[in-house]
Amino acid sequence: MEEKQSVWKEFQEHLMTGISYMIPVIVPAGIIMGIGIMIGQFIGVDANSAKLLTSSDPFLKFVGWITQVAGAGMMGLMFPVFAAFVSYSICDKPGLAPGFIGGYLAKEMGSGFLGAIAIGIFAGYAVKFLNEHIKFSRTFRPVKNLFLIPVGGTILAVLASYFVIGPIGNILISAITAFIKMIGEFGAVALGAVISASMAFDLGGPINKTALAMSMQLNTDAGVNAWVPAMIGAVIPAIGVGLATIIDKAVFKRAVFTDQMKTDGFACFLLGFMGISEGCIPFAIKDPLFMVPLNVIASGIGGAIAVALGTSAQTGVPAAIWGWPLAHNPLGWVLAVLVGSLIVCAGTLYRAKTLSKQ
Amino acid sequence: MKKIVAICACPMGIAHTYMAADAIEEAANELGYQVKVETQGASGIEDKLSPKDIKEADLIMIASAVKISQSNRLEGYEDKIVKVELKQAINNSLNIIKEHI
Repeated sequence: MEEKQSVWKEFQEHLMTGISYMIPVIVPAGIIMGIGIMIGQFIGVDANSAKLLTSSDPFLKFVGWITQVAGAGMMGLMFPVFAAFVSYSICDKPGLAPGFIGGYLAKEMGSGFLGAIAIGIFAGYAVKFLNEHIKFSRTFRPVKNLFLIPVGGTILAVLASYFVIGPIGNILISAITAFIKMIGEFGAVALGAVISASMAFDLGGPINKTALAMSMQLNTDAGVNAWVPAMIGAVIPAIGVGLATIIDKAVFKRAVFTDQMKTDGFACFLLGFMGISEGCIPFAIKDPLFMVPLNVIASGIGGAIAVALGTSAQTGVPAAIWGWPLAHNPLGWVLAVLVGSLIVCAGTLYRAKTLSKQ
Repeated sequence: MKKIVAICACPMGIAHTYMAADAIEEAANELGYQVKVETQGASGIEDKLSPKDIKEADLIMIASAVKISQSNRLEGYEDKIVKVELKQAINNSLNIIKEHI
């Protein structure tokens, strides 16, 4: 009884599969690079300077190596892994190899995250097409599965990268970069606000994941400060709501939330600091017409503050509290989360009665 | 006794997967059905459905926003599979099960 899915739904499922396999790659990559850069800042060198790699000081060499070779290398894996699993989502195992090479080429040719999306989709459908249209008898099936499909699919992916996706991707990315330059500083702040607000809108749902993908793309390909606002939007609702359930007694002189909500809220608060926004969902569901706009506005303000204060980070630096010091100007991160969370907290306390209704 | 099995997965594999799993288990228990839910979260597959589970099941619910792993296990049982969004499973498992069983 498979229910019919719309094309957009299907497309979304492929992208989400790619993202879900990519996240475990970019998180450690972002942390490793962030640690290298942080050590560099401490000892007063630029960890991304090519000179470090040939330095005679073993420690400096290590700092350079861990940032530029290990960290950046792992970060570069995000494109192949993403494209491969988008393709895998479409046509299963035979899609992996063409997806990996396509994603690698997207990185090498500079078409970035957009290129990786395009080639992942292309490779997946190309292999699916080959799989469905090449028909062999059972005896010769190994020829098809071991030779024709992987080689044919890969050749198609390579050709598409060279002639179509690479060039078009480059044009698109130059256009995006030019656009971001054009909108200037105010535009960047507004963009940060929009990304952060979208992250908070559905707390881990499809809009949140779309905003996450966009911020990855902008932060990695176009050099826009888009990752930090996304991470901030992910934590503000959870920390704010959690805080409200913790301090309600101090504010109203009596507990206004039920015991269950206080337990949930405390967990939500802690999870918020670990970069997980989903704990906030039960609260948002109870009073969506108030809580969703509240989360969106507060997170938008938080994102804007972070960008305005120049807090930026490598793609993949986690939203969790241990990711904060890995950013450039971590104080902006703290301030943005603080202000945003306090707004959410105040709003939640204001609606405490509605929220604690059974 | 009717048996329901389910597979849940979401992109991050942290929250929605398990919320949906809880909701399905709760709904099945309420209806007095036997239930087993496999979760494909950030830590990999947990409570994996065996071929026997899949064969015996009266209803196979898939609540996922991503491609589920090892979907070849389900080949041949398409007629008892129902695919839903995570959100539907979290909010509405009871009705989904009632409707399909």
